Amino acid sequence: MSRAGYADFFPAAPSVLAEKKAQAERERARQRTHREYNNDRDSSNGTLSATSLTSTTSTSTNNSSTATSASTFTKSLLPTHLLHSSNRTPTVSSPSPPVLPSPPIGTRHSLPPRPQVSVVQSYIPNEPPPPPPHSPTLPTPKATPPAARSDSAKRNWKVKYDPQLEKKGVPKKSKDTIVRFDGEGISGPVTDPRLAIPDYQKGPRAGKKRLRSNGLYRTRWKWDENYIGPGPPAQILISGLSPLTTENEISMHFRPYGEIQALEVKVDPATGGSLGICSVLYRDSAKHKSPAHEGAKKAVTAGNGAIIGMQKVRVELDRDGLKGKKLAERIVEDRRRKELEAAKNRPRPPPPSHDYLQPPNRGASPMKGRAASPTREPRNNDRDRDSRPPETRDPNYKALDHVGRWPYIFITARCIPGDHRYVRHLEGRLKNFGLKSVLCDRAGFYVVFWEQRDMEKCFRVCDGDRLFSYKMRMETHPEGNRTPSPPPQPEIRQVDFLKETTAALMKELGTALMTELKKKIVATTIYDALDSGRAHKKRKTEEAELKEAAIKEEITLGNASPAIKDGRGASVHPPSATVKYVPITAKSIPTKPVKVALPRFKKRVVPKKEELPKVNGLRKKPTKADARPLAHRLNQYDSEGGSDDESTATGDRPVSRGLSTDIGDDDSMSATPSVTDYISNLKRKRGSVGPTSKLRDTAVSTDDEEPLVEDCMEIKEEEITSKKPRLSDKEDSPLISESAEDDTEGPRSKTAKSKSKKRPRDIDFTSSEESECDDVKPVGCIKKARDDQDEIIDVAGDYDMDNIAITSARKTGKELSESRKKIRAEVAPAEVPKTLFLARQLPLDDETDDEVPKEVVDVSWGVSTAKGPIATVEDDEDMVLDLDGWQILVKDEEDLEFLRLALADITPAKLGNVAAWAFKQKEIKAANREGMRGEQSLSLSSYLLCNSNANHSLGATRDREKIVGFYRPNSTGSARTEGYRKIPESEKSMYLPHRLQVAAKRAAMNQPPSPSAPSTTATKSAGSTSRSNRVNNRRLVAELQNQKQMLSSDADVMRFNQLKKRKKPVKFARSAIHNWGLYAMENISANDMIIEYVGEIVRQQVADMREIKYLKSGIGSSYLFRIDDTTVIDATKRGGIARFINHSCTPNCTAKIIKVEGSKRIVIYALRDIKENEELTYDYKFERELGSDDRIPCLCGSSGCKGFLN
Amino acid sequence: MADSNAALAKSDEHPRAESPPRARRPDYRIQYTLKGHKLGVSAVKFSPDGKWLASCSADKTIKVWHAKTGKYEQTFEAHMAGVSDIDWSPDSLTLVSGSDDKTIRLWDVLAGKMIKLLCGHHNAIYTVSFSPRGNIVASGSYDEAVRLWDIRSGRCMKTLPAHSDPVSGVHFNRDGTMIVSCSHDGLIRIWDVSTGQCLRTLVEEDNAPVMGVRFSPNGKHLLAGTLDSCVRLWDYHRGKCLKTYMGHRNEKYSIFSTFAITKGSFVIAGSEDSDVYLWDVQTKDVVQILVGHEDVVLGVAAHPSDNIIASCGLDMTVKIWIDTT
Repeated sequence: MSRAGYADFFPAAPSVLAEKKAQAERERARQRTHREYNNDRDSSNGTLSATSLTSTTSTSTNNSSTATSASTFTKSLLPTHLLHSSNRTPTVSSPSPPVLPSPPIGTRHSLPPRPQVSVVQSYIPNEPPPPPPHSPTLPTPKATPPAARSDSAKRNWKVKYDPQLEKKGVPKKSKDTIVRFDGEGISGPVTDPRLAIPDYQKGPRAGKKRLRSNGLYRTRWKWDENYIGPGPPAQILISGLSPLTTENEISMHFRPYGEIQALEVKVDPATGGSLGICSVLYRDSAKHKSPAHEGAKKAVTAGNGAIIGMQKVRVELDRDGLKGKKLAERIVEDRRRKELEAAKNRPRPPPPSHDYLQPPNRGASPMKGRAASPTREPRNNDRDRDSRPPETRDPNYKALDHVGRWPYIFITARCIPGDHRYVRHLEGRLKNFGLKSVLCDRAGFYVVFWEQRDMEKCFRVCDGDRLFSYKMRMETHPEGNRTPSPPPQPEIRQVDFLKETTAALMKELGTALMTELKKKIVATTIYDALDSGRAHKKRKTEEAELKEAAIKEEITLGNASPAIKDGRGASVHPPSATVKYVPITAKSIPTKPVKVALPRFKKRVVPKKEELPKVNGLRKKPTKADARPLAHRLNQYDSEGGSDDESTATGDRPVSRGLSTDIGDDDSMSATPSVTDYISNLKRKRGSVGPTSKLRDTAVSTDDEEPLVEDCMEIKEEEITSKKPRLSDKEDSPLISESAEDDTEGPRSKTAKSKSKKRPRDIDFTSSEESECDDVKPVGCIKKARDDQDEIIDVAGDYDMDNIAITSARKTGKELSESRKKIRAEVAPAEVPKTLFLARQLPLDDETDDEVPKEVVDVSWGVSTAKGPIATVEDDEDMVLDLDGWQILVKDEEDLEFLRLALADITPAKLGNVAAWAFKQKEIKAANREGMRGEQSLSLSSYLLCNSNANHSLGATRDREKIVGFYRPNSTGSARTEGYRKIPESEKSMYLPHRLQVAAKRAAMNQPPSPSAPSTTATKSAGSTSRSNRVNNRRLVAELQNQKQMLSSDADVMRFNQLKKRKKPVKFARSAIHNWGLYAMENISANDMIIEYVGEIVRQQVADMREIKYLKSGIGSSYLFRIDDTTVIDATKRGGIARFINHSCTPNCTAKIIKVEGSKRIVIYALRDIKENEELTYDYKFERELGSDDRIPCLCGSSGCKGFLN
Repeated sequence: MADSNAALAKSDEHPRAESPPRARRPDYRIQYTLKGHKLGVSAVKFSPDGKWLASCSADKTIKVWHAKTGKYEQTFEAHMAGVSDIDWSPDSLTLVSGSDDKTIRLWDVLAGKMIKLLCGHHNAIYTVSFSPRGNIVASGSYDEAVRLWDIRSGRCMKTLPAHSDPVSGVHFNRDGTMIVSCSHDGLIRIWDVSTGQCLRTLVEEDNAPVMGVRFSPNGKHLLAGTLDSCVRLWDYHRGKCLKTYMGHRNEKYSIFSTFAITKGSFVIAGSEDSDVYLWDVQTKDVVQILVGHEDVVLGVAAHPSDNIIASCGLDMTVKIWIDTT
C-alpha cells in the first residue's frame, strides 16, 4: 500500500512539511552514525543519493543491495539523466536536497515521479548538491535503507536552496554559486525547467496523478545473446488436418521453411488414430541459414490457412508444445464424451435390463432408485432421445433376439413405419397394459409384456386402433420368441485368405490322396487275391524279356502307328499302315499330331467275342500289356475300349489277355494273364483277398510292372507322409512319362473317350523319372521297365497286324507270342470275374505270352474302323502356347527332343540367363493379367495373386493378355515415334467414350421401341406446372411494377429478366456433335420455352468486325446471333450457356424472337417433347453457300443431315 | 571521366551491341552413345537426383542408364505396346511410363519391377508427368483427355475433358498446383489440380498443333513447341508469347523441348534434321547445334545439376553430351 495519501497530494501543506522536516532530522542523525561505516565507499556517495532518487522512477524490484545499485548507476551516462530529468526526476538544483528513499518504494512505479520528490521527506540541508537524477533506463536500483545510504555517502553537496521551502521566490544572489554535481556550473539562476512547459502546473499534470492514456509501453526485448529466459518458439502446431494426412505430406509442406527436427502427428492413445493435430519442431539449420524460430515463424505466416490435402489447416506457434498437448487432450476428451453418449443411446430401446427379472407392480412401487418404473425412465430418455440427433441403428438389428420368452405383440412395419421415434409414442399409448418394453427394428414393433393376460388385454383393446394416422395391426405371440437366436456376430473376422484356402486345399488333397491310395493299394492287394497263382518268378523272367523287346519295338516304331481305337476295345491296326517314323516338323505340331506307339488304354466296355476276328486262333485281346505301375493303371478311368493307338506296336502284340471268357462278361474286362498273375502275386504278398468290382476302369499292370509298382507303392506309402504337393507331382509325372513313351504329342484318343479328360492324362503313365521315384531303387525299376519296353518296341515291327498275337515285333517275337499264348491259355480258365483290367502294354502281354506259348487263347482281331489316326493325346487347343503352355505340353526329354527337331530351322534368340528370362516372362504375364483384371474385380484369385509373394506363375492360360478395346497399332511402335497425324472423326467415334455412348443410344433408339420405353411427356409434378409458373411470374412482375411506381425510380436493381424465370434446367457437357453441347436435365414438353440466348448486344458493323477478328484469332465457332437487320447478339466472350447449343439438321428446338418489356429477345423453344439428358439442338439457319469451298461440315449425325452447316 | 561515363551509358543503352561473351556459349560434345533399343527411342529423362537416365522406346521397353557414365543399368519390360513417354518421381525411386497399350505403369527402380498398372484411358497414352509432390501422375492421351491418377491407390482421380484432339503434352508446375496441357488442336490450357478447373487457355493465331509444353523452372513461363518449326516462350499470366525460337525443323514429329540451366540458361530442342539445337533464352540465338544423330531427334533432357544433355531419336540410340568447359 502506498503512502500516497494526504502527504502526496498536498505536499506543501504545513503539517506535511513539518513531518518531513522531522523525518529529515531523524535521518540525518542516523546517517551520521553510519558515516564511518560507509566512509570508504567513496564513489557510492553520489550513487546512494542517486539511488534514493531512483526510487521515484519506475521500479519493479524493491530489494536491491546498495552495491549493485551503485555499480549500475555508475554505468549510466550523464546526459541521459539530464534528458529525463525534466520529466521525472526532481530538478537537480544544488540546494535541492537529495532524495532519499521514500516509503513508496516499489509502489509508485505506475506514477511518474512526483515533482515534489525533491521535497521528499528526508533531505539533508547543507549538503553538497545532489547528484544528477537517475536515468530511468537503468535497471532498477534496489531500495536501500536510507540510513545506510546516507551514511555511506560522502556528500559533496549541500542544499542551499529548496524552492518548496522557500516560498519567497528565487533566492537572492548569494555569493556561493550554485553548482551542479561535480562542479558543473550553472549560468544564471536556476529555474525549474518544468516551468518552461506551458501549463505545467495548471495542466492536468499539476499535482495530480497523471494517467497515461496510451497505456504502458511494454518494452520488447530483442532476442540476442544477452537474453535470459526461454528462446523464441521453434515449434509449431498444425491443427485441422484430415486424419488421413500422412506425416510425409505434412513434412513436405513444412520442409521449405526450415529444417525439421521433429514432426509428430498426435494420435488418440486409445485407438491410435490421428487426431488431426501435428506438431513440428524446427532446428537451426546451416543449409537454410536460418535459426529454428525463423523457420517456425515462416511456417506460421505461410502455412496458416494453407490447404493440405483438401483441408484448411491452422498453424500457430506453440512454445514447448503446450498448446498441442492441450488441444490433443481436448479432442480426445471430446471424442470420449461423444462415444459415451453414443453408447448410452444405443442400448436404449430395450429398457434397462436390470428390470428384466422383476416386473414392476401395477401400483408402481418404487424399487431401488431406478424402479421408478421402467416406463418412466424410458420416457425420460425418450424425450432426450428425440432431442438428440437420431441414433443410427444397426440395420441388422433384430429386435426378436432381444425379446426373449416374454409374450409380445408384433406390429408390422407396414402399418407403422419402423422408426425408433414411434417407440415412444407406442409406449405412451400402451403403457397402461403393463408392457415391459417396446422394441423396434426394420420388421416392425415388438411390444413386450410381462404377462400374457396383459398382452391379450392390450390386443383386445388396441388392435386396429389408430396411432396418429396409422392403424395398428397387431399380432400376438403369447409364447414369446421361442428360439431366440444369438445376436449375430457383428464383425467379420479378418480371415486370412491365404491360410484358409491352403487349409481347404490341404484337406481336399488329403481326401484325394486317401482315395487314390485306397484304390491303388487296396486294388493291388485285391488283384493279388484274384491272381490265379502263376509262378512269380517265371513271370518275372518273361517280363524282363518282354519288356526289352517291347521297348525297342516302341522306339523304332516311333510315332508311327495310328491307333485305331475301337469302342469295343478290339482295336487292330492295319499292319503295314503307317509304321513309319514321321518326324515332327514345326508345321505338323499344331496340326493333329501323329500318333505314336502308346500303351493303350482300354475302354471298359466289353467287346463281344464274336466281333473280334480270330487271328490264328487267337483272339486279339483288347487289353494290352502295361508297363506302367499297377497303381496307375488301376487308376484309369477311361472308358475307351480298344483305344489302342499304338496298336501297331502294342496292338500287334497279342493282347490276348487270355481271358476270353472274361471278355464275355458284362462288367468285367478280362485281365491279361500276366496281369492277373501279377495281381495274384501281389495279393499273395499282401494277403488280401477278393477282387472288387469297383475297380472297373483300371488298367491292369502286367507282371513286369510288378516290381515297379511295388516300389512305387512303397514310395507312395512314403509319400503319404511326405508333403502333399507330391501328389500332384505324381499325377503330373504320369503325364510326362506317358508322353515320354508316346513321343510328345501323340494324341491320346483314350483320353478322349475317358470320362474325365484330365484324370487319365494324369494317371495313365508310368511314373517317370520326374516322379517321386527319385530314389535309386525305383528309378532302377522304371528304367528297367522302360528298357524292356524299348526292347519290346523294337521288335514290334515284325508284327503282322492280323497276327498281332503272334507276331509281336520283338526280338523274341515268336517267343513272346508263344509265351503270351501260353499265358493266355493258362489264364483263360482263371477268371477274374469282377475286376477289369486293361492290360496296356503289349510287351508285357507278349512276355507273358512267350512264356506260355502253348496255351493259346482264342483272340479275335479286327481292323480298326476309325478313319485316320486317332489321337492319343488330346491337345488343349485353347491353351496359349507361351512359356507356360509349352512347359505343360512338353512332358519330358523325348518331347523336348522332338520339339527341338521341329524347331531346328529356327535360329534361337540369345537370352542370356534362361532361367532369369523365363522367370521374368512369367512375372510380366502375371503382372499384366492381374493388372488388367485387378481393376475390375477384387476376386479371391486376384487378391491372392496380388498378395502372395510367391512366384507369380499363372500356369497355362487359355487366352492371351491383350489390349482391350480400341487399339490401332502404330507402325513405328509407339504413338510418339509416329508423328503427327490428323485423326478423322470416324476414327474418333470409335474410341471416344462419349461418342460411343451416343452411338449406343442411337442404336438402342433405332430398334423397335420396347413397351417399357419411357414416356416422353414431361412430368408435371404437383409443385411446378408451367401454368402455375406463369401465374407466379405474372404476379411477381405485377408486384415489381407496383414497387417501381411506389418508389418512382427506375433503379437498376429493379431490373428483372422475366425470361430467366422460364428457363428450364439444362446443363452443358461434352457433345458427340461438336465439343460441348447443351443437355436437358428433365423432360421438356413441346413448345415450352427453354432458355434465352443471352450475349452482348452489338450493332451490325461491330459484329462484322468481331467476326473477322475471331476468325483470325482462331475461334472457329461463331456465336453471333442475329436479332434483326441491325442488331446482333454476340455470345463469344460473354453470354449465357445457350451458346453451347449445337446445330442439327433435324433439331428438337427452335429459336424465336419475342418482345419482352419492349426489347427483343432471342428465346429457344422446344419443337417437340424432349427427354431428359437429350442434347438440345436447333437449326442455325445459316445462309446456304452452296458454291463455297469453305463449307462447314455438319456433324449432327442425324438421318436428315444436309451435310453442311451452310 | 566523363567519357568513360558516356561509354558506360552507351553500353547500357545498347547492351546487345556486344556479342555475348565467349564463355557463355556452351560447348557440348558427344560423350556416349547408348545402344540397345530395338526401335525408335521416344523419350529420355534424367532422374531428379542426377544419377540415372531413363529412356523409353517403341520396342515396349524402358531402359535405365547411369547418367554420368552411360553404363546400362536395367530394363523394364511389361508393356504390351510401344512406350511413348516416361517421367521420374521427385525422389528418383519411381518411374512412370505411358504406352500405346492404354496403360500407365509405375516401376520401382531399385527393385526393378512394376509396381502398379493404371488403366482407364481409351486410346494410346502420349505423355505422362509426375507431380513434384510425388503423389499424383498426370497423363495425356489420344482420347483427348487428361487424367490425374493417385499413385498409392492406383485410381484415376480426375478426368479433365481437356481438348478436342489428342493431348500431346502435360506438365506440372513447380509446386504441383497447376498442370499445363497442349494438344493437336493448337490450344494450351492451364488447369488447377485440386479442382480440375481450366484456368487459362492460350492459343496461337494459326492453331498449329502444339506438340509439347513445359513449365519453366521458375514456373512463370511456358515453353511450347509447335509444328510450325517454332518453340515459343509464353507468359501465361498475361497470355503473351514472349520469345520465339526458330532454326530447327519440326513439321511432323513431337519434338521435345526443355530448359538447360546448369550453366547459363538455354532452351534445347531436337529437330527433324537429326540435330539438337540450343538457343539462348534471352537472345533467341542458336548458340550450339549438336550433330550426331542419324534420324529425327525426338527427345532431349538436361541434367539437373551437371552440364549434361541427353538426346534420343528414331535412330534407336541415346546420346549423352557433356560440356566440360
